[in-house]
Amino acid sequence: MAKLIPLGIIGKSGLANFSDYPITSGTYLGAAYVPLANGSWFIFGGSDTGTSTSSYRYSTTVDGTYTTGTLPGSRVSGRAAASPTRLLVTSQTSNTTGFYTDNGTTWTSTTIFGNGVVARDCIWDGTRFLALSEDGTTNGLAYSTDAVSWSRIDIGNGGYTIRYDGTSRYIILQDIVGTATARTCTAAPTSAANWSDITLPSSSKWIALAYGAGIWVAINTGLTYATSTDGTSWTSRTLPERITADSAEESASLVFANGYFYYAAGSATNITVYSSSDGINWRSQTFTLGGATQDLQIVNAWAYSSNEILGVGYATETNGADRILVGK
Amino acid sequence: MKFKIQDNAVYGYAQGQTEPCLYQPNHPDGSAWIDEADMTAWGEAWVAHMTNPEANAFPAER
Repeated sequence: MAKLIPLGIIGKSGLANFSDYPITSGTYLGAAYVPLANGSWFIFGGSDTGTSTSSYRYSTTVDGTYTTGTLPGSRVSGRAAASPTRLLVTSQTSNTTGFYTDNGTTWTSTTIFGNGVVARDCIWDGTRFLALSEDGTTNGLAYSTDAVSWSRIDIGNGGYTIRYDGTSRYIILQDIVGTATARTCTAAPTSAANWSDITLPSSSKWIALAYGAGIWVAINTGLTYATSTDGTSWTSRTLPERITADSAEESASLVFANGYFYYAAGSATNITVYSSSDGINWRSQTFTLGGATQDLQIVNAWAYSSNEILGVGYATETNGADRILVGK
Repeated sequence: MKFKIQDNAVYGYAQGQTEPCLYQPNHPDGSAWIDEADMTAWGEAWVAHMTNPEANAFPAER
């Protein structure tokens, strides 16, 4: 007979135990953790629905009351990245494309790309911010050590997701149309000559990417996904459940936090968080959300501290979420 | 929405707020402000953008 492991013991092993908490309804596309003077946990809304927003949420504790703040611009695309002292969030606002803050409530506009080009994703690699344009024409990658002054290079295309393994390799999932080609770099990412193509196992809409425990995990909108130990040779595998039930969805997210990969898959009645320490074997935690409606079906962004994880998203692209996931 | 210029920076305030949501010590392109007229023009454009964000007309590059 299989032995049931109490969740409390699982939690002590490093695997987070998730619960849901209320949040002011929104279509959330971004989240970040960085301890600043006025908050540590930040949640950003987006304009996938075509609705502009200048508001965001912040809190000092992951499961506390989130205060609504105002960004100095609208059309936030929501992806966020943080250096130890500065938080950057990307925007679709023409000629600006980003805002940064050092205290969590007062923001400065910064032109990452300009000319109306959308900054779709961004990371902090320990030395610099890197921002990725969605449009994929020219000058699709921008970098800056301070988020104030940006340089841009032409990597042949923009993309949708950029991740770094923390030591040597960057990977960009190029677009959401459906392709097996991704981009990678193992030298300075600031030189276009250092970027080259890699091939994923199928021509699919690859939308989520994470690295941890020596393995890259890339997920598309179907049931298949891919893993790689070197970032160039990929193995096709099968997920226990699609990351999104809507194949048109383009924002669902995967994270590696505190020893585990996490992604979520929701329906109109419940949500399941999948976790894996090796990116291959997955275990699940399913629960019914506590809100009046089941308003969290797609987790678009994760943020994490050394012992807590936050997942945010929406129900559909036209129906915001009123719940967030918190793992401890 | 309103803005003020102080200590060579543009401060922006959302409707009904006393604390600034915007602190702009330089032009968004990273360059220094040219003069007070430069800051005023940008501040006025910022207020226009925040008043009608659907127009997506954020203060243009110089």
